[in-house]
Amino acid sequence: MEDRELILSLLPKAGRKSRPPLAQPPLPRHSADELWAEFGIRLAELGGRIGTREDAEVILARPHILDHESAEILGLHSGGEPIWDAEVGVTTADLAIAETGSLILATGPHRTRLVSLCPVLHLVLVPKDRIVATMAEAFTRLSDRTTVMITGPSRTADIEGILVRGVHGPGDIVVVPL
Amino acid sequence: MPKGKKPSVEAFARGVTAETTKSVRAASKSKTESRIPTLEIAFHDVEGARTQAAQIKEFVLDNISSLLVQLEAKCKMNGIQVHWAKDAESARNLIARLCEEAAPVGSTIVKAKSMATEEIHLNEHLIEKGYEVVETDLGEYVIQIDHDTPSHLVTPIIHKNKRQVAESFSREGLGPYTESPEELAAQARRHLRDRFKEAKIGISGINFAIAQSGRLVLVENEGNNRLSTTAPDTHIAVMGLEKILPSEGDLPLFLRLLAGSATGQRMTVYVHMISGPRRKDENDGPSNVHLVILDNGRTKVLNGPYREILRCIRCGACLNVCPVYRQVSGHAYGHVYSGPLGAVLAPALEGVEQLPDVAKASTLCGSCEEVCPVKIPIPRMLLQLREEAVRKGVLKEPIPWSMFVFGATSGLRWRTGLKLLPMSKMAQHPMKNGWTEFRDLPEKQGRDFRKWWNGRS
Ligand code: SF4
Repeated sequence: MEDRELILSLLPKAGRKSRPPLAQPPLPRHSADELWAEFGIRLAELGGRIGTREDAEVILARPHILDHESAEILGLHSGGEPIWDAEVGVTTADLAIAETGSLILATGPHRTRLVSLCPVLHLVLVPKDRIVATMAEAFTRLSDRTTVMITGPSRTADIEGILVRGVHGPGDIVVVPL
Repeated sequence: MPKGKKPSVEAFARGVTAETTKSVRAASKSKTESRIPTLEIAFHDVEGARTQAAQIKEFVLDNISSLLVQLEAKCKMNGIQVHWAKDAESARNLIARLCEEAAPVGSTIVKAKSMATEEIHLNEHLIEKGYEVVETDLGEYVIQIDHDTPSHLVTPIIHKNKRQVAESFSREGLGPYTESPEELAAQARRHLRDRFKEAKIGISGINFAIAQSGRLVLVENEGNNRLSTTAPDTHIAVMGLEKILPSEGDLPLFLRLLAGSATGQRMTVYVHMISGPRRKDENDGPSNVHLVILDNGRTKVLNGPYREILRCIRCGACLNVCPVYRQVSGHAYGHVYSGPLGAVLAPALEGVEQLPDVAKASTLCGSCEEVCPVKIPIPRMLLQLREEAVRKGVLKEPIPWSMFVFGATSGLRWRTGLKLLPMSKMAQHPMKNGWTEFRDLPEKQGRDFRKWWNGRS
């Protein structure tokens, strides 16, 4: 017998019709400014920071790679260094989540996944209205493409439990609400 | 750990160095301390969240057959190629074949940390076939260059200190000798970057597979997991068949429970949700994504008395609080799955005859069940396993009193601050053989064991 048929024949058949419902805590009502303030606190706790457009310009003096949407927002040309050589990767997030300081980035036309991953600094542009209060809310709006949720800089505590930032991914993350 | 005949847990425990115990205790303590405050921020009602997660996982186990078929159909629609493997050998052969189709022998394969691939001893097999297999998680990389085995689900080198890592890195020529964790991490980053660039295949586990959408969810902190599943042209993901969640709406609950329980983080740094291979208009990502659904004993467990252990989301919290684990570390259990989880899962998967004594490596203090985000009744199952082992005649010696006492009093010293199973609950279990050692215990007084023991001494 093929492994598939064998495994399916060995699995218990009995089923329950309905799944247990998820508790849906009421969504807090906050203004976008309040949500951004909360986001900033959470991001700072993780070792990231909120920046301004001026900060972005200073950062862009370093060898960087810029994705399509970010280039449009900043009025620059997209591209830049080869992905493995860039010090800074610039992306535009689909959504920011206030309660955890997380960012949602889906793949999409002309998007390069490695821009948010290979460089040592990840500069993230987020249009101000793209913020939600909770992760639960964000997950009702996911793209059907491959998506990553990023919460703070890359980190490890493998060696004696000591926190080190930037082990494989960016050790610095700067988020610019625009 | 040297291959060959496994020493008994007690024999192994006697040989554990003070240095190892010190590393394990310190790391376990810090993870345990941040767990509760983090979960309390995430959930107004932590208890309610755990109950809900347990119920959802029970629903999954009840409907595993239809959910797997749904997952398979959705994955195929997403362009993910789905394969099934009945056991470790079948999985190894299948994955070797997928590798041969993807890249010539001799190519580099980057691995993201995965217990399922450890379980089937995949690396050894692919290396034998002529591939260069590189573990890329910092801890797993150290394990690989030291020819060691992981001793914890989440932090594989919990048994090593920075001096030992420093010695390994300078021996391998990664850079000048340094004991600074920052510099060691930077050396690993530099060294492994080249491997990611040249790799043709990336192999990973998964944390959750979503039946409703056919999406594979991987969580990690370092970024090596994303690199392994993004940079190479072929990605092979291996999942134990129980790792399903019904829908994406379940993710926030499970992701927060997992992050908080595992390391006391509010959220893991990267949650990678893979919806299939790179689409035509996308600039990067693998062009082939394979999912291998692994049985390897799980259907047997599903139909038996230890079924609930398959709710496990591999957070490692039960290891971190376990007084026995903290003392002896993961290698003592003689299996890739260690700690209270492993003491149930390993014999449940392989048969109690294969690992008759791991169920003894517990004080039955109940801490594991207290912390488990999916409320697995581990102490009850450990008792059942001991009973089964004694009944089958594979566990002859009585439960070692010394280990029981050791763990219980030390547990108090370490102030895990957790409530314990009342003795009256344990006494309900009809343990005849081996249980007689405890006949003098005050069975029905309703006091817990540690209190009783301390009062006596
Ligand atoms: S048994 Fe529970 S506490 Fe232990 S690793 Fe699994 S989910 Fe975590």
